[in-house]
Amino acid sequence: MWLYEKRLQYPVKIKNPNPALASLIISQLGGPHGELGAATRYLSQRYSMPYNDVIGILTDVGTEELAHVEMISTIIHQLTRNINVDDIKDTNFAPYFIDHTTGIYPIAASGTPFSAETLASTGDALADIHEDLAAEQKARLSYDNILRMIDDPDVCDPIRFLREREVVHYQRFAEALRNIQERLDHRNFYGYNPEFDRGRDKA
Amino acid sequence: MNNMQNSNRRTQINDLSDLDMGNRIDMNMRRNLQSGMDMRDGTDMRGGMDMNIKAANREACARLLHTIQMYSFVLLETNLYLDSHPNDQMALEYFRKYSQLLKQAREEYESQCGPLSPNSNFIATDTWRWVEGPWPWQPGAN
Repeated sequence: MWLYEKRLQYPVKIKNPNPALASLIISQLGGPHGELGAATRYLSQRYSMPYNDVIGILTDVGTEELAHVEMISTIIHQLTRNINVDDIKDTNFAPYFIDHTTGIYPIAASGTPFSAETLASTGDALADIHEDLAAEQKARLSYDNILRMIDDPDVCDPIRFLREREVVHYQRFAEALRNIQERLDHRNFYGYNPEFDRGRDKA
Repeated sequence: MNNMQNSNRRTQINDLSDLDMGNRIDMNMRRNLQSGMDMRDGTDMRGGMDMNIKAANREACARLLHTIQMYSFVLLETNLYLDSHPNDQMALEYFRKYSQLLKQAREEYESQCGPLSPNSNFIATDTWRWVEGPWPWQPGAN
């Protein structure tokens, strides 16, 4: 069960609109390394996960990703606020504008709408946590690439915060991986899948 | 507000008033919880899931959680109604009443059965109880 809190996790106050930039940053909403995929990935992986501490990490990181969806959406909204068609016409925001005006729609910078094909929930504890570790690194590199493109401090600041969170999440998932491996046979972590082959964990 | 909306609202609120029986359920649960032993005996299986919860307390916790679900649902329905009728004094009073009942029920549940969220007053004991099972979809969940 979720409850909404009427605040952003970290402040977003962008003074100058920049629709071209919005069409790049929107990848972190609906792109292959975006926050929507992150939340869906972690929250979906919880159900067959047999270790309660790992479920805790998936729940809490997944919940934070929902807050990041809101932050990225706010960044896109503020970058496209109070603009007219002339501000858009010759930018790469124009194709998005045709279908969505200045509404928020989850899409990659390349124009592909959000797809669950960008995430995995395999029902295998080790495969899922490795997926999550990779996902955090991919989100981190996307934020790095966004930071290469921008110099507006109002935008850089929340993007840097989001980038740092990917690094922290990576650390927590690395601990989750370690905690899972400690419960498995160290001579063969892959001898069985603790999410499916029941009753074979170390006591 | 026109007459049609007014009468709809009355019907809705009358239908919900039987949820006051939650108060009586609360009294039964309080007795169960006081007479029962500590519900957690520390048996740790499978990543910290406590499998050995005493049946009586588990039942009391299940009933308390049911009360919380009722009060929360009443509040959600009233919340949605108030979103489009923000000055309806009767609905506001109704919301306040159930808000208080929910607060009490949550305190009772969390003190006896475990934290409902990381913001719980009952979470930071000598151990971080947030990651203890069962999670809501697991066997033995309240």
